[in-house]
Amino acid sequence: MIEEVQVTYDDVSVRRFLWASVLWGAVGMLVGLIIASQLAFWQLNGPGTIPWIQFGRLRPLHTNAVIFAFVGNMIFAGVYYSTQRLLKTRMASDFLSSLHFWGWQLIIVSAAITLPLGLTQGKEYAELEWFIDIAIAVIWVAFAVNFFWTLVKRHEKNLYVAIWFYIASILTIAVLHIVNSLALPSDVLHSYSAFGGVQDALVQWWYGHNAVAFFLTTPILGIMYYFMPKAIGKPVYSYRLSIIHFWSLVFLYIWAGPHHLLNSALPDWAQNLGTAFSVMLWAPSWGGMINGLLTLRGAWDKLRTDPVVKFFVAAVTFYGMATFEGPMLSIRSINALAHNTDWIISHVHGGALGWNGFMAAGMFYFLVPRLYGTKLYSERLANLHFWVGLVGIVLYMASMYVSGITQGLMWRALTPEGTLLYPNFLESISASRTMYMVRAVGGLLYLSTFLVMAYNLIKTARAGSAQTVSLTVSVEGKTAAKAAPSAAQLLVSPIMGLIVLGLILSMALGVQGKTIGVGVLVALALFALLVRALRARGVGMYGGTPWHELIEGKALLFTVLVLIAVLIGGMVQILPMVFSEQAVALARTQTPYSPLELAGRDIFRREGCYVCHTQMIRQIASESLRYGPPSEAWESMYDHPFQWGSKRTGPDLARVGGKYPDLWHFKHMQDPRSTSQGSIMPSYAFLADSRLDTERIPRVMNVMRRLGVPYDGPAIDGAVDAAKAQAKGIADGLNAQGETAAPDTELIALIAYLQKLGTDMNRPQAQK
Amino acid sequence: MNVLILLIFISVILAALAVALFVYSVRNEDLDHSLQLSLKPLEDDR
Repeated sequence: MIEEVQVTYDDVSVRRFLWASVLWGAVGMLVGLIIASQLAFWQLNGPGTIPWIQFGRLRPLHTNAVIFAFVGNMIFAGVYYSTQRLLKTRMASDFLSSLHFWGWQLIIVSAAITLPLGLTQGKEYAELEWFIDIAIAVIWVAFAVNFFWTLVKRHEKNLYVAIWFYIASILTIAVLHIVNSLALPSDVLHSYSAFGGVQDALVQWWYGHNAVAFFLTTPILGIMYYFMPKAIGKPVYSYRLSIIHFWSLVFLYIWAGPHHLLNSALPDWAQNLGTAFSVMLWAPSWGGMINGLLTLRGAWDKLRTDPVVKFFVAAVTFYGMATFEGPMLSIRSINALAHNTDWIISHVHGGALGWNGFMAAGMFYFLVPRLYGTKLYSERLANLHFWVGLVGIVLYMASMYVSGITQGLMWRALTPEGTLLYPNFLESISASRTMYMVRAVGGLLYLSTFLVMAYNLIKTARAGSAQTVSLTVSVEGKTAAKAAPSAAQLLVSPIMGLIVLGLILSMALGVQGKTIGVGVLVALALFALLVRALRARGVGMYGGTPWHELIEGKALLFTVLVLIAVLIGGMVQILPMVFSEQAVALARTQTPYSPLELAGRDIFRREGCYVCHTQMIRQIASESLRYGPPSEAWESMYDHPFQWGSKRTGPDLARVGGKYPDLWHFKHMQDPRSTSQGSIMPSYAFLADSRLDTERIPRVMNVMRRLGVPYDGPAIDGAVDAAKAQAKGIADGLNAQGETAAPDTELIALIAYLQKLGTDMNRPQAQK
Repeated sequence: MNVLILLIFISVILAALAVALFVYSVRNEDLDHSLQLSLKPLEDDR
């Protein structure tokens, strides 16, 4: 029986998110241009008296603004528009839609205020403090409730592939955000990661990598699967391929996080898992890319005539390039060259500017004329946007490839005698300066054309009026509902096979014992026999309905299966790391920081030093020659949060303690060029005048004790006095050498912290 | 180097399983419903 239902879509929310994305995109890219210029011209950091305009504080603002404000709002616009049309229903709750929009914008404004103020958790792409993290969780849940409620009241039985990607994204981001944001607050404005050292590193990059995967990729793939066919007027090249693309991508992606920690102190088993699954990602990623591009079959002429198609095709091509490069960079030997260099910056911006930015542009050019019932104001401006923006991306990426590979090669170059050819780290930075200028030009071109797009879209909107789409949809009446498939039917389905395959592979790679190896094979054989037996009994088809069509029509079952597929990888990696002592072999124990060092560490985190300095000497010969013995996991076991970093615009600091006298640090922080000719580091002169808040120290130590750092009561009670005594010792030493150093300043605490780094290795200590 | 033999062995098994799953899926016509579904975005919804 067919019923007719009147549906009015909520396009108000779509318009809101769309314009918010345009606005925040411009802001985020402008901040990006500023920090790119600061790297080319260090003077743009100011005289060292205005901390909130310096690189270390603005860089997190740039990344958060672009990822969560620009791309986030773009995703929501695409999801709200396509979900309603694919499900033939209005979003379930106007209130939740409004709450989602305004809540998200409030979070963005909070980030824009707190990050320049130095309120940060010190974890990349997860810098926002605990109270904002809670707000993110609440708003995300509101979005999820609205979305899944819409699924429940849909007028379309089967879920189109775009919806699957949205389901996976919403679920996974919730899990990632909640786990990685677990922290203990010390006061209203500050908190400390619940995880420490190597565990924090793994959790953070499990989150960081999958923020790329499930925030910057899977929802955009959903948008691709909806908007590309729409723009081209043809169905996606292969819907079958999209099914394989979806399941393999969501299953494999979650495992790849450890490739951000290759050659580090992360246990080998986790590194190997990260590499193996990253390489496997080649297949689904390129399957999706090819599926997108071949949607143009028979309509390639649109690439020449339609700006929307032009942006989409270029975006998908960038997706292909980035997803070829990602697995390649996950191979240890290539990673050894590329990691910590500008090569990674190039890779990231290929994805951000090319894939995300151009998908957003294509979607905006498609949507605005429809949302306002008019034609695009100027196709010529859109074409200008495309070509000049493309030149901007090429300049950006090419310059960062050149500087990145230059840095990687210079850091590892050896003389015939086996010593470092470029022992001064700053030589590699000086060699990169020209490329930093080219990068800034590329960014300027890209931002300029983004503003051209904003102008074009505003003119388009003003030429029309906001449309309200109301239509009658034909809905199949409730016929005899089919029961959910039985456990046996699920067992013989390919999806279950995929899950089992993953489990087996993970065990095979993660264990070395013969017993477990044989056990894996026996389990494999038993599973095969079970499948064969079930097939012999005719289990597998459900009333003539193929299994995938069946689950496409059952939103809850589909969601549960997605959750299982996504969680397996996370559990196999995270749970042993957090709960098993065998999984992380710690040879010794770290000496806890003194009260003053702990306070100095907070300043290091606040100023974003970790965005330019690593604290992880990798297991690479040239790194040992430059910095000392490779870092070991125990050396940072009490670090909440870990500060291993991921980029070296300055040298590694893991063993900087004792390398230079206090006087060197005192001068270097206030005027980096006075001790390090060619440095592009900002001046931190203000730290010499900022008073250290010693009253905070006992609170922080209490939090650390609750997190497992062995501070006892007397140590906490005497923390303030101990900090003052240590600070006086450092200041007295500096003053004796003719400086004017006040012991109660933040600079003294920071020096104390830096002088502690790496010194445990030389300290006699009983084996753990 | 002994581990290579084990890895190759496991890899071959996994590849064979993947092929078997694919054949199974094709025989079951698991994905044959997809032609109609792929047209969903093209419906005129303004």
